[in-house]
Amino acid sequence: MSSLQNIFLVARRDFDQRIRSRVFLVSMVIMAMLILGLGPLLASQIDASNTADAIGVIGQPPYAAELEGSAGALGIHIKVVSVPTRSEGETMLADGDLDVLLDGDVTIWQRSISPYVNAVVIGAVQAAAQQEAISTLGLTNEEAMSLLAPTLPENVVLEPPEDDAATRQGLAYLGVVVLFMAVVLSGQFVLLGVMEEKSSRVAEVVLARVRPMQLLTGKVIGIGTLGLLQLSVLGGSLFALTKVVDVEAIPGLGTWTGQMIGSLILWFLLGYAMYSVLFAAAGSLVTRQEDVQSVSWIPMLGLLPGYFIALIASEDPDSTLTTIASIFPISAPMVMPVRAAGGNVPGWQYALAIGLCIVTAYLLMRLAGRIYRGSMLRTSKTKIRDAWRAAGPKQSR
Amino acid sequence: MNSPVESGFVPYRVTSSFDTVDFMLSFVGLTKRYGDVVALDQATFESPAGRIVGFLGPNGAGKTTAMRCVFGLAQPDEGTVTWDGRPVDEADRLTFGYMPEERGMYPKMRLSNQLVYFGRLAGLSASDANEQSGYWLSRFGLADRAGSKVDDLSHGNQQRMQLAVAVVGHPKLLILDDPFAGLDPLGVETMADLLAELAGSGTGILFSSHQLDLVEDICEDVVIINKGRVVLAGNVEALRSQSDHVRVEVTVDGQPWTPESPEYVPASRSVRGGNFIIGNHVTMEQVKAEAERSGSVSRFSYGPPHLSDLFRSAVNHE
Repeated sequence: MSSLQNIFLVARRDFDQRIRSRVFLVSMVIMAMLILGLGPLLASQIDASNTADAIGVIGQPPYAAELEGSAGALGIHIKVVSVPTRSEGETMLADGDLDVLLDGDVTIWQRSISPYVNAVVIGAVQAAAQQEAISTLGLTNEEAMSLLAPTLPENVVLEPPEDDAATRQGLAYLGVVVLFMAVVLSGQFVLLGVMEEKSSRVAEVVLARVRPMQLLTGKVIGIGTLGLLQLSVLGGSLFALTKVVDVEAIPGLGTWTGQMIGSLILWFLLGYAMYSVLFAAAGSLVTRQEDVQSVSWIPMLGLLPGYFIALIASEDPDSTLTTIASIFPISAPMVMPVRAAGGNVPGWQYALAIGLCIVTAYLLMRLAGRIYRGSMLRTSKTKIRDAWRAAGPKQSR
Repeated sequence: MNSPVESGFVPYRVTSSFDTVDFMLSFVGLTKRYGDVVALDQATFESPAGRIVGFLGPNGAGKTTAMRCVFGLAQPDEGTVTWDGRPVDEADRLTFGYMPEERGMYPKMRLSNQLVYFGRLAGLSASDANEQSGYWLSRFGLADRAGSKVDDLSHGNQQRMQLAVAVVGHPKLLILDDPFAGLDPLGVETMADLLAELAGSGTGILFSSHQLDLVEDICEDVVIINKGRVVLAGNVEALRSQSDHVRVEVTVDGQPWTPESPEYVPASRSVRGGNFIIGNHVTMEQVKAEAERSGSVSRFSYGPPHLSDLFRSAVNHE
């Protein structure tokens, strides 16, 4: 039997066993609930940006058409509400049902004057006055048009805001939290799975037929596939959510999801490839749940600094620290996606970061593999040094 | 019950023999040190196909280390383990079954899944692994527990399951580290029957044990190891008959009797006295004459020493 087949068998066992486990199901339910929780949040965002300003007019609204026209010219969404009496209108104003109330020549506000709504009202009043003047003067249609439609100045913006970079980085921040959680969660699964094989002593039976590196690789792949599935469910439901809720209304979100999910999966794979073997080495040192804390610092020592730098990077994506940390392989999986969301990463830096991660993953696999080989067949808690020595070059097979 | 056996359909039988039966596992000059401790010291012995070899030795003699070397779980400092004359490789190991001293299975995995998994690791196809999983579960009376987890089994059933894990794939060589430990008398009998059956099909079996009577009953060959060195090896009957000692039992005046001369040693497991081992340079006539001088001899029997006597003398000479 080829070693690939062994790795496949081990990977499938770990995948099959864990996908049925309670911990996995619970974590999936929690994720699903988080996504569902995002729905109303997104919807409220969309409501906020879509809410029409309500303009109350007492009696038959004389300016309804002018108000609509004026608002349309200014790009503001309004609705005109007919209000029977002034006192009723004031009540509606107080309740927030109206933004402004027009009573003849008087414009009534609740607290402050909204410049946008005010501009709409002024425009409408002026238009009505002009209309009246035109009919009084008895002008022809052409004369009226030239009077009412003066040439408007063209707008030129010297520094247009960058295509919603801030929004995307905010979302990248969210993405890093998810990425970090996914790597740690999958890593913990690897750690516990390795510890279970050591403490139940099944390792000796398995290792009689499978090389240690095959068992390690199979486990990492099996649990990694599960992590990827989890992440895909999370990303996929987010994607589905954006199709249901009209995300186009939120600036920057529309173009985000597809790209973001792709980046998330790429950096999850790279981060997981590096850290899962460290979690495995940590798990191979202990046999009891109580001792897990005493070894899980090994992978966390590498993961946490990158995570914190990534959180800072979402504020300041172009600092020197961020640039270095986004290429340095230990922190790159956390920092690079945030930096890249800002859109200012040269292609070579991105490629270099990926390349370094792959090389580091290989080196860590060798290092962690040796600790793993040296400690799996020991029946008790093992020191790293002893494991390292026990699996000297002579011991490898 | 719809297990293969109950339904009268047994797709797989252990009695199907191997085509060639001349495999041989050889330990050649195996030496292994752990720091200052010498676990194996130039150990050389064999375990042939179709034979049951008892692997004996005091605790810490190096039995487990030697067995681990077969599977590459320990690397000898010197020497090799060969199969069919070549150093054991990975493909060979797939045809070996192993039951380690420290029993181990996946605690949360269902029995049937577990057997299929280990069968697949032994190189069986998915359908063969399923078939054999069903066969061995029925064989060990675990067919109705196929869906249970190992954690939920009784101690005895866990032992049976552990053996099933070792034999799934019908190994050409079976290495069992103390397989009889913790078994009740019925369990011992079942295990012994199965080993005989497997040996009959051509499987070579090497097992360690401290139960010397059992080994004497079951095994054709023994290897006795002490402090990492092989101190006695060969066919049990030949070793007994070729021994330069005789096991004697004498009753004088209704009491167990032993000679005055310092030549003898009490026989092993001679709780009541009256059993002793004496070098064969002393003739039975001499012993009988000495006994008759002490009183009336009602019982005088002698024969080759038991395996336990050989064991003790081999280990004590070291």
